[in-house]
Amino acid sequence: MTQAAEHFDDLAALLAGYEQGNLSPAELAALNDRLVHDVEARRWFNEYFQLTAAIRSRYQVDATGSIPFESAVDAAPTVAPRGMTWLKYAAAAAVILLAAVGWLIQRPVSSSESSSPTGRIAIATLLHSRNVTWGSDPLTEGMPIADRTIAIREGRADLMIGAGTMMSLIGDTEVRLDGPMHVTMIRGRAVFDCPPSMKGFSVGLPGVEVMDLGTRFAVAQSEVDGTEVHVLKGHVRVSLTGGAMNGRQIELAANQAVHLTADRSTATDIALNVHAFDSERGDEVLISDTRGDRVLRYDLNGQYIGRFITSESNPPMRRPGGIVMGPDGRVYLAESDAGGRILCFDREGRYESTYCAGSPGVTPDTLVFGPDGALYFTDAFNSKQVYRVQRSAAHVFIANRYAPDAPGRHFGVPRGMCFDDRGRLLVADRESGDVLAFAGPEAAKPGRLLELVVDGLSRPQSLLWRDDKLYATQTGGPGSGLWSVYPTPAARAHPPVALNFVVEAQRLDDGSTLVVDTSARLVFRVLADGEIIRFGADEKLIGPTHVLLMPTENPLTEKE
Amino acid sequence: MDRETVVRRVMTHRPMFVGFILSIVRDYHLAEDVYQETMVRAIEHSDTFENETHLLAWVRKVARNESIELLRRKNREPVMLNAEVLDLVESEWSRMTPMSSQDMAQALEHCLKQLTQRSRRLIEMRYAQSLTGHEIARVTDRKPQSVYQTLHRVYRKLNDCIQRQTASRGAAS
Repeated sequence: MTQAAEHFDDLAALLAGYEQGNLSPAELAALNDRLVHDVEARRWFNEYFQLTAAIRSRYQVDATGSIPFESAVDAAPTVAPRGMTWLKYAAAAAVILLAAVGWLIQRPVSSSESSSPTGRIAIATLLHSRNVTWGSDPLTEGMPIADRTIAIREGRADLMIGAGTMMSLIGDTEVRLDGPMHVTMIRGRAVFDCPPSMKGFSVGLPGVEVMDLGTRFAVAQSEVDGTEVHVLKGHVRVSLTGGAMNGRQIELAANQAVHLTADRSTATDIALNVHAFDSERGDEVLISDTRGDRVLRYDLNGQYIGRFITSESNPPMRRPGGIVMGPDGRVYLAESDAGGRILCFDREGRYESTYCAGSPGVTPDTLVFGPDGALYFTDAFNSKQVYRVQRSAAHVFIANRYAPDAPGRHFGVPRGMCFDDRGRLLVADRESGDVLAFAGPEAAKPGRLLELVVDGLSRPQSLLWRDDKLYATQTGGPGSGLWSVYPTPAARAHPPVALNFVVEAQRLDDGSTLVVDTSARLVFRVLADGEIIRFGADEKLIGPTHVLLMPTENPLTEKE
Repeated sequence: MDRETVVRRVMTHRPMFVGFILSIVRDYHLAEDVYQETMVRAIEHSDTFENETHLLAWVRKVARNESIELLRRKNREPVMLNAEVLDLVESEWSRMTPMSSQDMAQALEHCLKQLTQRSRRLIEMRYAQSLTGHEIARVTDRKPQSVYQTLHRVYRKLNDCIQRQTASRGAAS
């Protein structure tokens, strides 16, 4: 695996010819000879066929689109929603394995054929679970599921039912799988995506039956608030089977939604709420709940999705603080303790590596990636310096006494940090209220003090460079919040809101602002028109500090 | 060894075994058939395996013989590596790190996404549309040698990516 991609270029035609069975005797002899004498070539020969087998398997699943359920289930081709395809392949592989284990173990040795092995019919399989806390017996991805009740307390679980209906359970939700064409919704929220072959699939609720007529729809069920049915695509038929409206049928088309009271006495047209139900992945917000020893994830509407990492994750995370997305699309997270590490996670919150091992006496706070691709962090409360991570270790980039010709000048609480569009590193000192510009990593003298950019700010905590403007969070008094501070005179970046101790804030594309108020233990999204959405209503925050907007796609993924 | 352990151990090595068989029969569907048949025979002999090493060596040997026998039955022209090479290749397989089908599928899916659009398109033509290298060359108006070379580099890239993915998952767990 250490060989460069070009190392086996000379084998390309030989392997392809061997694979296609059209090598000449001379070429076959050449391949034999190479494999006899070159152990690396032998290794690559094996990896080549293991890889091509996996690719063939992947595209075979793609071509048939089917996952082998028990024979009683119609094996019509499936249509997976966008963005779900890889799950299908992994799940298909897993289901094949599991089904085969059951079949093979119970297969009578020496008999020509076996009887049905499992007794119960698998009607669904779990394709993917994200940050799920199970309320029922935990399921594992790829596991075939017979008729049973499934409950999740949080997170999202994607299941394939029958021969192609995708069901996404979102948040605190409980459903009963009755068969390949019917589920009963007990409570919570779920999105259903039915391919044409599953037309007639239906969802039962107390006194209501929602039948798919070839569509994508969502259902929310609450004993107290009643039922909402939202149609995102196609049509559904809502049949009332109880209450004052018994016998009434309501046809809903795309972009229509209806609310049924819990006693089924009234039905009211309501606005479609795509965001609350959309099972496609959208932008997400990660919040470091430092005192809660966890990072939580939300959609842009503040809807709690689940946990990103917790103190019980592997490896355990202590006091997560600064958080940033790297140019590689991974999430980097600092432990805000002395000697704290910086860990790297994938977008699902799975640990990938320890990016910086941590140093005694250094407490990483704000994280920023520089134009050189390196990770920088401030240590606001311990060594009070700025560091750059190189080869898994932190090195001082800007010392506490940052102006050699003025020894009295030093950082008080260097907390916020960002790079401007000229590659300069801007650092906010909460104690002095100054924002200072330092030469960036690509300058002749990296880390050298360049100028005082802004002074007189009220306890600036975080910095943000966006659209040629510098934003800073200020804290304390009525001025708490996010302010535009340079190059134009200071102006609040959002409508006035009563805030206490604001640490970090983010500007979003629609002009709204996410604000983390640590002492109020709340996160808000302040919309451009002044409306405030509270984040984390479903999950009480203990001590939020940092926030990260995680875009749907990593824009750099396509670049090679 | 009991039957369940035998099945699970062989399943854990599935991508590797299918790859090994594919390297002999060079037809994915035939490779799947041989794998299934080998699995059934392993179950039947489960009492005789002393340990995993014994089991895996036995499976490799049977899979190799089954593959060659199947090619003969299908009257395929045996454009095959010679026996000495097969021995060496077989012993190399025993040194490879096993990877479950699920891990492999997930890693592959991730790594396919890392490819450029152009590289992915090549892979799709080769495996989704089952075009040969020469056919791809015709469609893309390139020389066959260039197509083989490019495909080969894409394989290398994918393979490296998969190994990194599975290594990082292994480290995490």
